[in-house]
Amino acid sequence: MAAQFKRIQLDAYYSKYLQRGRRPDGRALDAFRKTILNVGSIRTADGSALVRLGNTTVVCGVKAELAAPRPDAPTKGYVVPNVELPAMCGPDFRPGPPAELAQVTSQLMLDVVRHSGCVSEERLCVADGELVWVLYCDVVCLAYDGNLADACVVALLAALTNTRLPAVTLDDETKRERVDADVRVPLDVLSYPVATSFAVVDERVLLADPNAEEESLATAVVTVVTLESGQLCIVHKPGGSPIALEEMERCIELSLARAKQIRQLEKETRLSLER
Amino acid sequence: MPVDRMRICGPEETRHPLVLELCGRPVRLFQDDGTRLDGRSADQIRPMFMKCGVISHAQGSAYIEMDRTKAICAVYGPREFGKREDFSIKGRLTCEFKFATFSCKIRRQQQQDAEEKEFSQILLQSLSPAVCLHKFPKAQVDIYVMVLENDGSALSAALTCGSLALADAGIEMYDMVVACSVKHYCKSTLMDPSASEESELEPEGTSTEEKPAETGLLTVAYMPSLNQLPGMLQTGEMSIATTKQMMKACIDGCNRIYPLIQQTLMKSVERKLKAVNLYNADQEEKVS
Repeated sequence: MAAQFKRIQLDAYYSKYLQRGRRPDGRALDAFRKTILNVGSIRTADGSALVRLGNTTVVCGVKAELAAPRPDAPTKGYVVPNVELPAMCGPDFRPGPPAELAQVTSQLMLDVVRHSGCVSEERLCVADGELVWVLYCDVVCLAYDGNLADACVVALLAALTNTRLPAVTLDDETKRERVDADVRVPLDVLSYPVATSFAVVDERVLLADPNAEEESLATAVVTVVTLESGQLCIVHKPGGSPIALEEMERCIELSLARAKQIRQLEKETRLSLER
Repeated sequence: MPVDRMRICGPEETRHPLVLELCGRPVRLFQDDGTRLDGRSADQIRPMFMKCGVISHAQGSAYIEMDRTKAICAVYGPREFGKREDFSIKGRLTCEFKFATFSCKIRRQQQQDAEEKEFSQILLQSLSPAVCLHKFPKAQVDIYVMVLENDGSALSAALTCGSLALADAGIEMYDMVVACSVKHYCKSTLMDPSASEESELEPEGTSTEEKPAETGLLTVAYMPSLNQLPGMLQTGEMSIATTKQMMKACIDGCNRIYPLIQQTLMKSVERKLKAVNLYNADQEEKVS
């Protein structure tokens, strides 16, 4: 009976729960789903991470290649993030060119990398004007259950922290690179941004870490990216129903608390790997 | 390379730092004590791990690990036809195979290249005979396989994973499809080759002018209960006798893998039954 009601009138079904301050999956309105992080399992990649946020599963692999720098930025390397939503991740995705959600999330990842300064493009330079590193950070969503942005940012940062680049020097005379495959230098990650997303349902109720069902009901989605210093990096609210200033402040507060949890999780994962 | 407007692009020309080393250096076959590079004997298969039900929104899904080779598969369907074509008394199966960009030593492109398209075709042709297509007329079943890390025998992993996912989805099948690969080089037959063994190998003691007569890779898809081969892919130069011997080795390998597949499916069924029982127990409580 409940299953049929849910199918036919999802919004009314949700209202009944939200009135009592709970969601159908048992969470409180500001609670996050169980987060699992696994790093370094893909050895063909220079750095990798797997993140499970509830049922949303994403894998990020970092591949480093060499290239000539842009003429207008001879001392800068490249960081190229991309998010892929293959047809396997959900029944609504089909094979073919990237869906709108994938393109939007890719752009968000690029903004996070650029504006948080997590990887310094100058440090990716091997020889000024001649040789730089290109870090291809490909995030593949294996299972989609809402809140892609958060999972992708966690996976990206964990993979970058896990990345080890081979030592490369450029021979001045022959102009060819000399690569020492046995020496691996960890990538310098200078800051650790964390994204937190919220969905506005029923034009008033704010839900943290929405799943796919809640996203389908949402009238607005807000993503807040914060840094360790407690500073705001990005606030992304692309239209949708307006929210009060107090609600926005509450989002930011929750984001800062959540960011601490994620950084702690990443630290524990990294230490357990080193042991 | 044409500019891909829908993705974030890096510079036009990039190269892998170890490209000269990776493509030029041949690899030794055996260590000094006669075992392979990873310590296995010639006919030993790598340890495997399989799990069903890893993607919640898919009808059926499976994940397989053959030591470092990792593949994941999702099955959706039976659902509506992609294109509204004429009525068809048999259902349709589509298959998409993809290597993740970071799965191989040299980064792969995001679009499907020729090798991936070929593997998609092989998967489709090898899995179709096992599925009861007449049970879902006018409908389509989609199989999506992605290899997350390629350390050799990726096609075999994909085939086995695909058939596990189909079974997990509850699609009616005549039999499971199990796959195994074998590499033949210089009179040695290596079962379940790793990535370094699949590439060019240099045996000790032969000069570079003398190329060994028989070298090649064979992947076989096998249906254990029906004792039939829905698929076979052979590359390289081999005599008929060697090919037959390699086929037998593959079938033997498949028979060794089959019990693990049965166990994995049983575990998945147990888990599903538990979930249903919990739901039924809840319903009973509400009624009483």
